Formats: sequence, C-alpha cells, structure tokens
Amino acid sequence: MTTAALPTGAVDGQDAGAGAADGQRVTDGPADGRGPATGPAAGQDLPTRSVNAFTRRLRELTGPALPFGAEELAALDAADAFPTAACRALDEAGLPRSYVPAEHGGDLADFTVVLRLLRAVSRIDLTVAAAHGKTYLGAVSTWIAGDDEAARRLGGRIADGEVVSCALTERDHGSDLLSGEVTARPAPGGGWLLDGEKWLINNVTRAGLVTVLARTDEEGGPRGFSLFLVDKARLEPGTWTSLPKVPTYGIRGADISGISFDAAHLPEDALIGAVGQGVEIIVKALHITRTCCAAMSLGAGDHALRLAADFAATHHDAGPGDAPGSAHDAPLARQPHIRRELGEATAGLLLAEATGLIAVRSLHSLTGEMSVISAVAKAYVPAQVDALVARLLQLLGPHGLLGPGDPHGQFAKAERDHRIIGIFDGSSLVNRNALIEQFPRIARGYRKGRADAEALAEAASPHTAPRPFRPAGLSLLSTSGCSVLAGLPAAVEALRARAADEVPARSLAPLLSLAERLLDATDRLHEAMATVRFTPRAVPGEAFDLAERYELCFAAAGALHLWLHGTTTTAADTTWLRGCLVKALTDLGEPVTAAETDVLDELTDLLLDGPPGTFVSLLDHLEANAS
Amino acid sequence: MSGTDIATATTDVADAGLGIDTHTVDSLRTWLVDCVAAHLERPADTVDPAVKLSDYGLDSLYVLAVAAELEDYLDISLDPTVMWDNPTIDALSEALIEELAVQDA
Amino acid sequence: MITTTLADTVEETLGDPFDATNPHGFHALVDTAEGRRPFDAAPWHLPDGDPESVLHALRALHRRSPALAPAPPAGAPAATVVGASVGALDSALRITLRHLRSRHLYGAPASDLPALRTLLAGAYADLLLCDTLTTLAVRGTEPLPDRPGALAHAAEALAPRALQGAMDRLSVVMGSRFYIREGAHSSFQRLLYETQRALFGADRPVLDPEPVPLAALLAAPAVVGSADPVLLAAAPGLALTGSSRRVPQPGGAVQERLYEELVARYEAGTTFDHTRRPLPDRP
Repeated sequence: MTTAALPTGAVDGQDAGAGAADGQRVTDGPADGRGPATGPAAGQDLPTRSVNAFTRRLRELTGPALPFGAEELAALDAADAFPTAACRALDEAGLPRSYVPAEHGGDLADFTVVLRLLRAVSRIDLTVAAAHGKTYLGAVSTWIAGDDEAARRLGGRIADGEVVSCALTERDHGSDLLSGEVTARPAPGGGWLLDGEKWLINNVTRAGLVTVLARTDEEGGPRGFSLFLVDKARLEPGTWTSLPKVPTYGIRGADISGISFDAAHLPEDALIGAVGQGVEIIVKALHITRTCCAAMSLGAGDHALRLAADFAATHHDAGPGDAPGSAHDAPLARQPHIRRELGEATAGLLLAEATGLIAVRSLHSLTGEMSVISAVAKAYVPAQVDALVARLLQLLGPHGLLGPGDPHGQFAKAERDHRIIGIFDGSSLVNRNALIEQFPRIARGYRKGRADAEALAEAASPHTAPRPFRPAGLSLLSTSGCSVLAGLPAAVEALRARAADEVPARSLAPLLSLAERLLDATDRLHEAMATVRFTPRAVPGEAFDLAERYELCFAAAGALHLWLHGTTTTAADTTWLRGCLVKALTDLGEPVTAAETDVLDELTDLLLDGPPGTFVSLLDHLEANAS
Repeated sequence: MSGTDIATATTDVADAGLGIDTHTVDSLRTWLVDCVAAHLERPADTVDPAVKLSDYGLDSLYVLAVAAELEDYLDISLDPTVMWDNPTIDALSEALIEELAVQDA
Repeated sequence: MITTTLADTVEETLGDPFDATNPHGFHALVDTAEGRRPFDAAPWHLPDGDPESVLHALRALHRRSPALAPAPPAGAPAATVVGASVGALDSALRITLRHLRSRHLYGAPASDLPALRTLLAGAYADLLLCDTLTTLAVRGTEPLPDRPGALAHAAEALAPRALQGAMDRLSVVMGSRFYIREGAHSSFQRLLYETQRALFGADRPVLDPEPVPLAALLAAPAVVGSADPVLLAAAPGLALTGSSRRVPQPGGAVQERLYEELVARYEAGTTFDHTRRPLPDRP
C-alpha cells in the first residue's frame, strides 16, 4: 500500500461496554483476517482487525447478567469472588492463544496485539485482566529457555484453557529473589525433590501448571537457582498443599495465594533450561512481562479517565443555594480548572501509551535494550496512571465521584485494582533502581549517539508488522544504552527539516520549539546521569529523581518518534504531540508558556467530544503507512 | 583509590592498556582489581582476586555493570553472565583470555 | 493550657493499637472493617474542649480509624478533619517504619536502603507541614494579615493532597504488604482507604482551586515560630503549589535530620507531630 493510509478509525478507542449502536462504527473485514476486506476496513492492518473482532466480542459480553456486566463484576469484587464467567468467556474468545508464540502453535506474533487485547480487557475490569494475563507470565520462561518439544506441549495446553502460574516470591523475601529458600534437590533415581513455600502468587491455586524458581545450589548466588515447570496433576498427593487465598486491597476476586511443597517429586523434564539458569531466565522473562504490564495500566487509566470525564460532563456543582440557572449550574467539565485537569490527565495517559507502545514493539526490534526499556515502562506507566487517577479522585471525589456519582463503584474499584500494577513484578522503586544501575552505560551510549535508527523506526510504527521476536536477543544488560533517547537528536533534526520545508510555513514552529526544549533537557539530564556515583546497595535517593526525569524524557521522545513515523500530511495535526510535550516538559520543571499549556484544553475536547464510550488513543491518530 | 570516580579510574586504566595488543591473565587481573576497587570505593590492595565479588557486596545485577566496562576496555562483545559464571577476579581473568582467543580467531 | 490533655485521655482509654488483643487495636479494627468480627468495644467518644484540644483528640482517634472516628462538633474549624488525618499519616508512617526495620532485603535491613529512607523522610516532612498548617488554622492564626484566610485555605485545599500523597508514596514503600488485608501490617491499607474517604469523599468540601500562597505563609513569623522552616521547606507536598507533578524528595543534610528525628520520635514512643505526645504503643 503506497497511498497515504486511511486513518485506522476509532479502533483502539472502542469501548467494549458501549451500546450496540456504537458497534456500527466498526466495519471489520472477515474475522479470520483473510480474504478481501471491503469498506473502511480495507485500511486496517491484520492486527487491528483481530483486535477489533475481540473488542466486539467483549462488547457482546457486557451488560446485565453477562460475564462482563458492571453489576456482576462489582458483586464478585465485594465478595472477594473469582470472576470465573468472565475468564471462561475470554478462553472461549481465544485469548489464551495470544499468549502462545506462533512458532509454538499460537497466535502471538506481535506484542502490540497482546498489548491492545489486554488493554481492552483492563478497560472493563482489571481483576479479570490480571487473572487471565498471568498465564503468559507463567509460560514465558518456557518460551525463552525451554526446548521446542516442551514449548509445543505447553502451547497446546494453554490453547486448551490451562491456567499457568509463576511462583517466584516467598513470604519473607519479596522482590529479593536470591534469598529464596524453596529448594530442589536431585531425587534418588532421577528427577527432583521440591521443598518449601511460595507465597503471594497470582493464580497459583487455580493453575494446573506452575513455573517455580528453586534453589539448586546451597550457596545460592545468581547461578544457584533453577526453574521448573510443575504439573500439579503429576505430583504425588500429599507432597504439596495450596495455601489459603490472601484478601487484598484491590483485584479482590483474584486468586492470590501460595503453594507449599514437601518433597514433591518432579520428573527430569520439569527443568526449564539448564541447572543454574533460573535467575538469568527470570530476569529476561521480566523484561517481557514488565513491558506488557503497560497494557493493564493503560486499560485501567482509560477506564478511570472515561468514568471521570462522563461524571464531569453530566454532573453539576450542587453547592447549597445554587439555583438552576445560576453561575454554578453548568456541568463540572465546563469549569476551567476541571477542564484543565481532564486535559492534563489525557496528556499523561497519552505519554503512558507512547511509552507502552514503543516498549512492546522494542521487544521485537530493540530486544537487546530491554533491560532499560522494560524498567522505564514498568516504573513510568503504572506510576503515571496511579498519579492521574489520584488527581481525578481528589478533584472529583468530593463532587460525588467517590460516592453516589460512581454507580457500581467502578471508579473506586479501578483505583484500588490499579495500585497492584505498580507493585507486582517489581515495584517502581525496584525498576528505578535497575535503571540507575545502568546510568553510566546509558549516558555513554547517549553521548556517542548509539542509536539503531532502523530498529527505532520499526518500534515507532505501530501499524506495521514488526520483525519476529527472538528471545535469544534478550540481554541482562543493554550494551548499547537506549536508542529511544540516543535517537532523539536525529528526531528533532527531522522535525526541523519538515518545519523548514513545510507549506504553509510556521505551523510546525510551535512543535519544534517544544521538541528543542525536550532535547535540551535530555542533554542536561544525561550529563547529570553520568556524574552519579554510588557503591552497591547505596544508590542515593537523589538518583531516583534523575530516574523519574529519564522516564519523562523517554515518554516524550517516544511520542515524538511515533508522531514522526505516523504523520505524513503537510497539514499535520500536532495537537496530541504538543499536549504530550507540554505535560512532559512541565513535569520536568522546564519552562512552558501559559499559551503553550492551553493545548491541554484541546485534549480535553478530544476526550469529551468523542462518541460516548470511546477512549482517546494514539493509535487512532497515527497513519499506517506514513514512514 | 578510595573516593576516585569510577569513570576516571577505569579510563585511566584503559588508556594505560592502549597500545598493548596482547592481554594476559595478569594484566586483566590488575585491571579488574582496580575496576572493582573503584566501584567499591576502597583501596585496590584490599581487593583479593580469589574472593567472590559477591562477598564484597557486589550484587548479581550490579556486577553486570563491570561486564559492560570490560566490553569497552577489551573492545569485544561479552555476555554479561560471564560475571556470574566466573564469580572471582581470578576466574574471570582466565575466562576473558579464553574469550579473547575465541573472538580473535 | 495544655492542648493534649484530651488526646492523652483518648489514648489511655483506647490503649496500644499494636496490641493484638486490644479491641481498639489495629488487628481488631481490620477484623471489624472486614466483617470478621463485630465492633464490640465501647463506641468512641470525642470529648468537648477548645478547638485545638479537640483537634488532637480527634487525631488520636484518626490514627486508629478515620471511619470510626466521630465527626467534629458543630462549629469546629473547617480544617479540623484535615488536621485529624495527620493522625492517620502518623500511623501509616509508624507501620511502614516497623515493617522496614523488621525486614531484610538484599542482605541488610530494608530501612538501611537510602531510597526508602528518603521516602520516609519525605513523608515525615509532609506530616510536619500538614501538622503546622492545620494546627495554626484551627487556632485561627492569620500569619499574613494582608491576606486573611490564606492559612485556612492552605490547610483545607493543599494539606489534604499533601497527606494523601504521602500515604500513597508510603504504600509503594510497603510494596506487596500494603496490598494485603490481613496480618500484622494490614491496617495500613485500611487507613489509606479510610483517609481517602475522610478527605475526598462525596460529603467532603470541594477543594478550592485558587493558588495557595505557600511560600509567603511559610516565611511568615507566626509559622516560622511554630515549626522548623528548614524541615518544612523539604516537604514534598510543597510541589503541589507548582504545575510539575514530579514530587522532589528531601536530600542531603536535611534528609538525614528528618530521618533521625523520625526514628528518635518512633523509638521514644511519641507522636510524630509537634506535640510529641507520649503514646501507649509498645515497640
């Protein structure tokens, strides 16, 4: 397709919960993605069509007495009860196949699709998304290090609906995996004997298969642990016990529990990879799963922002003595400071989306840089969404959003549920620490301009099929640094060239000015990063501030890359990108004028003026064949 | 070398190594002792090449940073897990010489 | 006049919140909130008194449960509920410190990790800031004579966000322990949830969006005379008056001072606020 592509339509903005009339707007090609597509769908790439089909299916499942009904999900949450019907419906819709790589018999060929599917589920209910998506974390170690036969077998079982869990943490050690006390010893006559307790594990009671990290060398250390895929059905009864469900602050229905092993005998082929490889495999697995967590944060952020916007659009300031027709008798969404907050929240979510999109696509093309990119994605995206939800809650809670203005308590539930995303799989603190430990390397790569331009372009073109993901390309440490930021000077140069050529002149000038300030701030940041000195275990608190600034620069640069690769027309829309840059520069503490900041109100219009039940997504503002 | 900044320390050592085409186990050991000492902010003569790096508090992820510096110094590409498979400076020096031989071949 | 006498009485009546057998303690309160047991202790009573004494007595109740604490008496200053929430932050900070001191991570006590100390010091500075703003507001102090109402505005519009922000950051420090609704530290999540509703619930006053002249307030003699301006200036909550959403944490010498003072008050068994009331808590 060489013609300027059609906009992809409000595809990612579709709400599974919207009414049936809204469904008219999606006109997909055949659900199997093959055969001639007609109508507007002709401009849609294959992943978009499959995401569409899935989203449409979700919408059909949303409504009173259906698996995704708001009342039903609220009742399950109140009772700490597992959303069985919703998870079964996702199984029937074929979602598990998306967790299995194509080479092992599944549908997973593009992590962008996984991101969009899990985001769509998370827009309705994060408990369901976390419960269902966990199977990917359970399986990923086998995808990375298991032999082909084991991977194919596992892929088959997942496609058949098997739940797979991953048991890393223990009661007293949290994220400190090297302190783990669960032990696997060679069994007399072959195989392994597993002893000890894993605790606070998602789905470990429901799962038939559990990936377990166990100590295989008494002395421990990074080569002292190995991974095992435990098939509960093959364990001797009495050698293992499920621990009780742990009641949690959010995702209340989820199966958060534990498992205890007592000389449980594992067959030889339970071992994943080689003995001693456990920590290495897990660190690489986390590069993938921490990145994919963005899907859940983005969905929860979409959900909370939509609820807040709808609330503000339909509620009035009901202060005492406010007669109808008085100055206060206008929707909250028209009050200037509330408009501004909604716009800022939208900008924050777009920055988070830019980060998530670039990060999942980097799994394919910038695989060796994931030690940096996954840390940024896991530190920034959940924190950004937590922050915007907190602001909205504080702004609109007293108006009624934290009370009767929140039917079925969906906003309050999203707020509670989402806090887990910033905690599990390594908290923001753990990820910022990982980022800081790479500062010298990142700063050197930036100074030397080490950016893989071709790979970066691929990461920044979400409507194109990425190269296949190669697990062997994952590295514990990025040797080159981070192309997203090392490629920023070239991106600003490209924008400058477009601004110089454009007709009519000067419409890109305001954007260029913001981008130049971003580059300047990024330059200074990397100089500061290069001077941070610390000894092991003594990362100074101040370095965490630099890490936060790094995340902001990454998010803003990601947005710029996406815009450059997804925008061709000369009368290009710069609104969303200016909104992102203004928000990032403001949070960085860089100077931004009041006139520039007004762009946030335009984002509010984007949020409020969209059809009911839709979401703002960059994917709807990027052209498929721009670059 | 306590208090010396790591970049300067390792750059100095790297510069000293320029012009020498052949690394030896001894020269690598010396370089590594200085490098680790700089990270730990302690004198080089208190770093024993036969002691595990983890015993000095260099944890499993932090120690990977040393692999990154080694790559720059030796101008080869290394799997950072070389640091895990060879937990002492002595073992690491031997492994690096083998790796250099392979990559030069 | 001693403004903490009423609060002392409340503490004496309700006993050690960390005592697992205390019907007014954290264990029992979580079990009550979870419906695992009825609230079988005597209902909580807020004694009568002058506004500041009532504030501290209410703080003593909020440090156990904002949801179970009675509303302030009619006519109490508007900043009273916000000021009482300082008690909830006190408990959240105390539970976090207890947790970190008992937990080993990466070969050392978790409380030794500089990043965690920084966050604790920041939460403590926020507590001091909110304590100062709300106490002076309840007293009716006008630190800026040419801007009447400025302090009350700061106490009612800025302090709630500063308090909640500090609780939210502490929840990240608590990590997965924050997320659990049973066991030794589970009152943390309950306090966070109840404080959120006490400050931003549907029946609470809407936050006035007008800018708060915080710098001028903190420089005013009445404020300088009641709290250490160096410590207040390190409060992350100050960032709420700007447009950046990044919240810089205290660093350097002031961070060390904050952390030392926090630990000293913790070990001495006193409140973290300026009154340093003795608490019935056992270590």
